[in-house]
Amino acid sequence: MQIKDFTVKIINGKLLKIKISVKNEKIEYLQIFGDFFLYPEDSLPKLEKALIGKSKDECFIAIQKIIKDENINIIGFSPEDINKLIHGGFK
Amino acid sequence: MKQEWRLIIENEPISAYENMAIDTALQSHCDQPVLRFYTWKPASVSIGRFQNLYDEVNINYCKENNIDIVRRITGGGAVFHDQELTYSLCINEDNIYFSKDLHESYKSICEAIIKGLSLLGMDAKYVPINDLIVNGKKISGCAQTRKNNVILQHGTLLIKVDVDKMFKILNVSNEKIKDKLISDVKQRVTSIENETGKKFQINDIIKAMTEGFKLQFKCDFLNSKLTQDEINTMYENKVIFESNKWNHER
Repeated sequence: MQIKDFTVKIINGKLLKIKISVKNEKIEYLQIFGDFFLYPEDSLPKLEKALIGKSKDECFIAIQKIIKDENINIIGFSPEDINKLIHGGFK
Repeated sequence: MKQEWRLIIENEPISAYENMAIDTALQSHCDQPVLRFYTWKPASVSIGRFQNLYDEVNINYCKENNIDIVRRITGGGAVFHDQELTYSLCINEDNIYFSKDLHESYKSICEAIIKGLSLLGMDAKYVPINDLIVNGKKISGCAQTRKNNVILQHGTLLIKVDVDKMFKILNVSNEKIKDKLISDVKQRVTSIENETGKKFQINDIIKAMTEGFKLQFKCDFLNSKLTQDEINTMYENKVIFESNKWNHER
């Protein structure tokens, strides 16, 4: 498994980091880190899990769905921010 | 009629694990708002709930210098707790003097600290979501979590700051970047001593902050200690905060 790191400081937001591995154009490993706030806190692993097996084009919908389904409130980055960072893992 | 809130002042500094265990125990048993002030011994690093321990902290330096490391239950960034006063507030989110709204509740508690700092002669401003600045520099940061409708917000208040030491515990390997960051942090961080040029007794700072909460929330305080139920939960929680499983979670 080849894990890549990507980091971005969101303007007017927080630091967002990911460790990602992509195999056959699908995410096989993903961890999200940073100094952001996310409520409820135990939903971050659910967000990560929801993206495993997803292709580049499926990520944004999956992010939006899990945020809605789990009623996740994020301060410090947006769904667009994390989607953009994840796309780096597909390059 | 004014609400009566509990006030817990730790007379002696205590460990990071115990401090985090007490905060979460107070949140679990909260049937009345409780404000707590505490300090840390040994000096400690707390990392945010979602941070990578290895990325954020120079673990070897901490081991060599007797600095404890704990993962907080709250989000936010890594903090070096040394010469500071820390507060925590547990309050039910249905409290009439409080807003359920996440942003408003952060602001509301920070306003209490601003009022307290004003009594010490400082003009602090709230910078969303979790910072307080004086003369453009950060003097206080905070983080909030919610469980079973109870808000726990804890926050720092820098009494004195040693930025060089602060940066030795941070894991920044690239020397060039490190220089830039040190310079940046030195310009961004301040303390009560820096801003006032005075050395306050910690009890005077606690008194001012308590007064700030009274002014903000129109409440009275009753000096209090942990109940036996809270102590029991604290010991259970402390085991978790001391564990590698929790601290190395991500």
